Amino acid sequence: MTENQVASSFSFKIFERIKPDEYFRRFIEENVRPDGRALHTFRPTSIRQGAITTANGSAMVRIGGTTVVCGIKAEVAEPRVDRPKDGFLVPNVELSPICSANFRPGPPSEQAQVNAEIINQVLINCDIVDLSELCIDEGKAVWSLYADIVCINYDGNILDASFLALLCALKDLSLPTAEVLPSSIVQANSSMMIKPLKLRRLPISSTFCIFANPKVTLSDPTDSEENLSKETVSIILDTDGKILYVHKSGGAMCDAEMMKSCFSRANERAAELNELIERTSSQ
Amino acid sequence: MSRLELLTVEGLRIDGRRPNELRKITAKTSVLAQADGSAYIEQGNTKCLAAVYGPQEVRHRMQILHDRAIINVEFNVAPFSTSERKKRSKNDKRSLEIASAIKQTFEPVVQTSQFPRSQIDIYLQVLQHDGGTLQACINAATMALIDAGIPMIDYVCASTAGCIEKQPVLDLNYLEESSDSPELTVAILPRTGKVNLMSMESRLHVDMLESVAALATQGCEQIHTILDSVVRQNTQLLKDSMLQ
Amino acid sequence: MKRSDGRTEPSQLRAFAASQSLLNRADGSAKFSFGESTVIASVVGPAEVKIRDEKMDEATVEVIVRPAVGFPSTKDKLLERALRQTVEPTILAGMMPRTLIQIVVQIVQEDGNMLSTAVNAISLAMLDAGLPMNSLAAAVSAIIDQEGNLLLDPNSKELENASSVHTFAFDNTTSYNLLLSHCIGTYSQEQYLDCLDACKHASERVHSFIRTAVEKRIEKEYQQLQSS
Repeated sequence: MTENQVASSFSFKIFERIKPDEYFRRFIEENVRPDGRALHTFRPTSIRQGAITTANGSAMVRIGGTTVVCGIKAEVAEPRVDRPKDGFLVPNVELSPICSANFRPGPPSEQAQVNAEIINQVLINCDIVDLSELCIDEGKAVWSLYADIVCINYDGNILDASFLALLCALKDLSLPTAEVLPSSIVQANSSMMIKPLKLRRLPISSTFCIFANPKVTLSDPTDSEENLSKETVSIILDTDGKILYVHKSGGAMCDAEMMKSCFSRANERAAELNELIERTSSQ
Repeated sequence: MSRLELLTVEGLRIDGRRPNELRKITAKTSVLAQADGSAYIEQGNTKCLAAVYGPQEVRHRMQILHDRAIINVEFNVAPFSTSERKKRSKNDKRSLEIASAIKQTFEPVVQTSQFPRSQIDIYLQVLQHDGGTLQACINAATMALIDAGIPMIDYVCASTAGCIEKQPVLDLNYLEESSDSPELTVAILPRTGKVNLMSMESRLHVDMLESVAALATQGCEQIHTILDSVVRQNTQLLKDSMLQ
Repeated sequence: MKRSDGRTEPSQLRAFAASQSLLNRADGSAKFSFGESTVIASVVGPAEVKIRDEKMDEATVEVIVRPAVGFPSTKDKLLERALRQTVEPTILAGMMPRTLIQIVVQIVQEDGNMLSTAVNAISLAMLDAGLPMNSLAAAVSAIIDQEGNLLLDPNSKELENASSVHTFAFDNTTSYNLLLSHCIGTYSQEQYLDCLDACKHASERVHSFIRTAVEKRIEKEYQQLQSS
């Protein structure tokens, strides 16, 4: 490298640090993003199922630089009196300081709690799993599934990654056959493993962020893009094109036309990921 | 229930290893883009991830030391990593104890006096637990510190050894660890052979201690060779890419 | 068709009620109800901000939700974030750099639509506190029930029979920009856009209600001033 090149490569790094929005705007004006993607492209995504052997079901998902691991542990629990057949599925999202310098050690941040709650509400309201399939003996014992979603590397768009990891871990889940003995002890037979949960639909999440100046919509934002834009749109679709969840907040730039374009991008993304999930599970 | 046979008549262990054999070790560095240095280590089925941030500004003013950097260690176990799901809070006593043991192990090795009034964060995440968490964490932290380019006087290599039916065995897995056999964790500085950490929480006859410790030390040296070759390989790759 | 609480039209909203300045220790406060759903919001600010949350070029907005019973759960955290992100764009935060605007939402009575009731209560409370704002947020909820009917402003009984729940918030600029869209359930894109449209028209009614509420109050204050 010549001296000049060194100087210019330094100056653009300094430019990025002191004027991040202006730096970013210059890229967007050329219809390209700092990582080389077009505005509507998602980052390369990969899935690995069964990464954790101590868990009953697990998956590791990478979306560009964002890596999350979801591990599901099953425990026997007593069902609720009003729903004697239903088991439990409890999602939890962990954003520890290992994944980004911006997260502080301590109790779960608002972001972690909100993401876990969104996942929980979608699971409850959108008819994704039938919890009565987790029944061991009606009114006596059911399986309680704890889905812990741990972020290992954070580079934006945690909702999409967590959702995908949870789905693949649920697909990977296998439980021992169990029965309640007359002495009311639950006996599990780990030589007979079953796949208890069937997913009724495959919810696939796509997140976009909207820039005010110039007015553009970016698919799958990275960490720095998330910090620069205030307005985000998250859409969860199933593979039949039904919408399960839409959340838009943080600005006033988005109108019905923009939502429509987000829907069509989300549709394409859902088809693409559906294929990827199929390919991973058949391996 | 019959007692688990931990050693067969042929002298082989439950996972088919010989008594003085380590589990397979895989180590990688620079696995995380966000951290200044990071490493991932697999020792058999124990999987551990380490991230190092710093040297950076001290987060709490009152902790500042004017002659050297402070080292801050956070140890976290993923809830799905063990066979029993346990919701461990970050501040449970056991985690704090391990974090403080790791902190004390690295304090004399990292050249903290080069970075006065700053802080070095070491974050450790156990993804899968199959015995020997402490040793895996120490080895991962060493690799992450090297990856971050933080000056140290030497590697810190850790290994465990135990004693089953009066036979010293190296690198216990979870089954061996949990069946009442004593476990000794040793961390050494391989160049000088100085012992940096030695910890045991169970009963072992004093006559056996020397041979068990010697075996663990031998394990540390083997681990050193493996880690060193990974570091050298990485440096070679870096050198090649720079010369192109 | 007749709805469970006696309303006759699917697009009929429940009776609004609002009162302002009911807490004297806060800079601004308001109570807002959609039928039985009632929320009190208080606003304090611009006030001193913790160094950790300080922003050099604008005010930090914080929303705290207190449930009617029990301790705050993750559900309330979700509500907090949605409310914060909805009202933040309406505040001229750049005029108050390095300060804190704290909004506390106390749920008084729940009968569906807590999110939209809270948005309206906060808007009124911010007006009452005299914060610099560029527009006013107003929210309305709708459901699509199992039979595919679109019902505006559902009560909790109707929510049990919902296949999807939609909440939208709009500002009161000429273009009625969309501030918030929180929709969960199973529905098609057409149904989503129908709800968006219906809620947009309904939010104009909420906006004009807020307007009359504020006008009436100022008139009353003016009369009091004159008589004294």
